[in-house]
Amino acid sequence: MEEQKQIKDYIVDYLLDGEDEKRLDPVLVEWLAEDESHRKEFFLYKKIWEESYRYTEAETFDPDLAWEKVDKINRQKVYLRKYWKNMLYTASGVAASLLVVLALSFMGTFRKGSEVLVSMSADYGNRSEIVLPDGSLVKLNAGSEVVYSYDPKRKTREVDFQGEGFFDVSKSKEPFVIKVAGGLNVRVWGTSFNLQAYADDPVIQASLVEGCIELEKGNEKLRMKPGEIAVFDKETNKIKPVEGVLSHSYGWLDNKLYMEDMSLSVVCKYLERWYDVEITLQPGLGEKIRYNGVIQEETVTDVMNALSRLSDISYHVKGKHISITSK
Amino acid sequence: MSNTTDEGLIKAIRKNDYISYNKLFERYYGRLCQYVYSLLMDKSDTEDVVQELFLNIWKNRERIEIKENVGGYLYRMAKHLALNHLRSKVCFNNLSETQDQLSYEDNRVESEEFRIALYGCIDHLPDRCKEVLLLHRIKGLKQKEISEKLDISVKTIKNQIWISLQKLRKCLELKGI
Repeated sequence: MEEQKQIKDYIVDYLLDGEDEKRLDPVLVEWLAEDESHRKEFFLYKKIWEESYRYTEAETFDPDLAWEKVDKINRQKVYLRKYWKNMLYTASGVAASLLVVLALSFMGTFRKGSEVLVSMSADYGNRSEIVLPDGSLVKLNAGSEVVYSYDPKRKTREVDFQGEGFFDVSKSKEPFVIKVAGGLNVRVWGTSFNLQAYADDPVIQASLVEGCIELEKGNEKLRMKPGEIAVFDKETNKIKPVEGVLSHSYGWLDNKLYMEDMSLSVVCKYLERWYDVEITLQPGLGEKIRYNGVIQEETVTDVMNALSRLSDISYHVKGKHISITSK
Repeated sequence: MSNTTDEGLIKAIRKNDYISYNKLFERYYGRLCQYVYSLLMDKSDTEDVVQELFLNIWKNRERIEIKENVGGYLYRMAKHLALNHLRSKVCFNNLSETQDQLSYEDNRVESEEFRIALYGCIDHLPDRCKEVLLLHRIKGLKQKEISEKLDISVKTIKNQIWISLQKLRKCLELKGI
């Protein structure tokens, strides 16, 4: 009893000593050497002591005040959504608006073994946004899908990806790897970038805004620096950097399509995804007509009007089908 | 019905139940702030981060389905949002201090569970014990200053600290830490 009392005093004294004078008393050293359980106990106290330094009482944060703020923002969003809906319903016949459709996509969180899985998709004509459990943000362009899994044992974050997305990956020492069609892996360190990887496109394109990513397929590897654009050719399995304006590659975030010598058939592919329409082209027309410039329109009808002003084409809309012929 | 489980609340939130959303907020706001504060050490940044987390929940409500422990999920979200916040700070201000903090946090991933449990335990310490512990640990008062402020002897202070340590140890054990 007497001895226990003394040890207790030594422990408290040790903890109470300022950082500079911290020194284990010989008595304490001896006690620690005696038994594993003593060391365990002592280190627990030490940990409690160190960690309590960052404690703050939960009451210092006023939930009522915070709720007022959160509640207000939630309500504003509802109004905004309704406003857009009304605007666009009156404005467009064919087009599903890219701004409005928020909730039609599917997402689920479930566990498979020890893994945490989250998935999210955006159909043609829709866009969506998801915050992954690790805090990373992914904005999905139309016709895209992301499946996130986290393996707590191996401490790895893995994403199966198809389509186009803007990734803002949170920094962590746990690796983040995106797997896309064609066997390409994108290894990511805390960063933001655009990734275009539609299954039916011949190439995959990555545009790095910030941080560092590495494209890898077998022995082919390319580590990218901010501001760089690179493509992976599914047929040749080659990865190479390309010239281009970085911001143009994620213009879709602002509803913009940048066309640099882009053929009508490529433009149509974008439109089919973005607006969930089917476009039929008069044979031979798709490669003959090329565009330069940028289009930013709300509805597919507006886009078609813009294109027919830029080139000698006329179009005809029937439900979801659009046919394009030369004038 | 006031004791709806977290899982029950999430289920209701998915069906647009704003009252359940409010309940979840009431239940977790303080606790999450407490935890995020330990990462950011700034009160207003902390509140921003936790409010953002709750805004995200409502925004994505129809798509959220959490099959694991809801509390664990919220803490994990909070941590990553907080670390993102630190990261953006590094970009804008290049504060070496923030960088230190960031690397500190990266090395401390494993202790978060311990920390969350510990804070819950400190919350439930007897008032006197808590007061002594916090005056020393948070306010950085010396033993003599505490003894003058609370009008107790240095011996009593040491006793209170020992009692706190014992209580915290037991409490952590009960939580399986």
